[in-house]
Amino acid sequence: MKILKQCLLLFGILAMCKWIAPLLPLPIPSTVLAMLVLLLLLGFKIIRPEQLQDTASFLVQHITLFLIPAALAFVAQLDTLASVWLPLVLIAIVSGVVIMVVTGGVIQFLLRRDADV
Amino acid sequence: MFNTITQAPEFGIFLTIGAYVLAYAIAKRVRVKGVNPMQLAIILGVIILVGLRIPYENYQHGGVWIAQLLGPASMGLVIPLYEKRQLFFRHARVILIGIFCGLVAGLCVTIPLLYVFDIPYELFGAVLAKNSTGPIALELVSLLEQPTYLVMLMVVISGLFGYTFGNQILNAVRIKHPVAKGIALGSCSHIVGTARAMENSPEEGAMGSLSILITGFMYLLVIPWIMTWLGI
Repeated sequence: MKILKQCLLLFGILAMCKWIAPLLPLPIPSTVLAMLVLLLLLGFKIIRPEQLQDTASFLVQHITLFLIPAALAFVAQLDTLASVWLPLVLIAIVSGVVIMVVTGGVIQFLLRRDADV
Repeated sequence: MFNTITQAPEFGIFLTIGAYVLAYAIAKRVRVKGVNPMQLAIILGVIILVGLRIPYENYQHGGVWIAQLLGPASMGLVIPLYEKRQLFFRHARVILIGIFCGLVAGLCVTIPLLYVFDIPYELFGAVLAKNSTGPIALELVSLLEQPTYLVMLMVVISGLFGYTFGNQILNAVRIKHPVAKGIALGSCSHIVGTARAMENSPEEGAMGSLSILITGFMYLLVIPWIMTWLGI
């Protein structure tokens, strides 16, 4: 019963956000809206983490499982990807290095500067 | 006959969970650095779908059942963020500036490369969204009304890259501070990179999972604007 109540809460918020999201003036995906709503509900202590914990941590632990169907979608487009896959991998690697070095470098610089002052 | 079997939703569900469970067992047994269950599960899935010539539409009848659980699972990601809010408040300014600089620098190299390599416009969204976390990247690309088949693959490649080479790269440029390392891994390689940060130290791991969501939300705000600016 505990798990069912937690599912009820999660899907309740999701269903509500799916209905509200298109009515908002700014384009926001309903899942992301649901994440923000949950963050607010937790922040204002309307919901306690324990009320979701078991179900949520099970789902988070296996979140990559739920991404597999979307990840396999490229199989249907192999012909389109045949000519561009190498540049795409290259872009992922080059931008990956840049993002990692710049993010880490800026944070380390600011933290050290703050520590010196 | 075979087509009827693979069209049943049960087949897609079985294949997805089966590939994941098998991949999990293999990854645990092999313990090679850089091998992670999702990567293996995708390889297994591709081998089965392509090898047995199963159309993706057939698989998708069951696949949607599994993908549906992404919504509640994404909400679950919020709980650790809420529990680590003190950590965020303590370093909020530095973390936000760092992630934003990384995002801008990433776009500055990615956008010219997209044009240099003559990548089709319909794939721009998937490439630009790749460093945000899976669920957000997927939502972002559908929001941009672009085809979603590529985005998860790009997200996985970015994740595996950070998991495999992240530590070496950060060491090479002498980024040693645990906060800086954790945020950098999470910001570039989301969930998969955070797995590496957690192996490094709990503090780095906490920073990684904090960085995933902040990065995700930032991409959600910036990418649609960039796409309009590029005229797509």
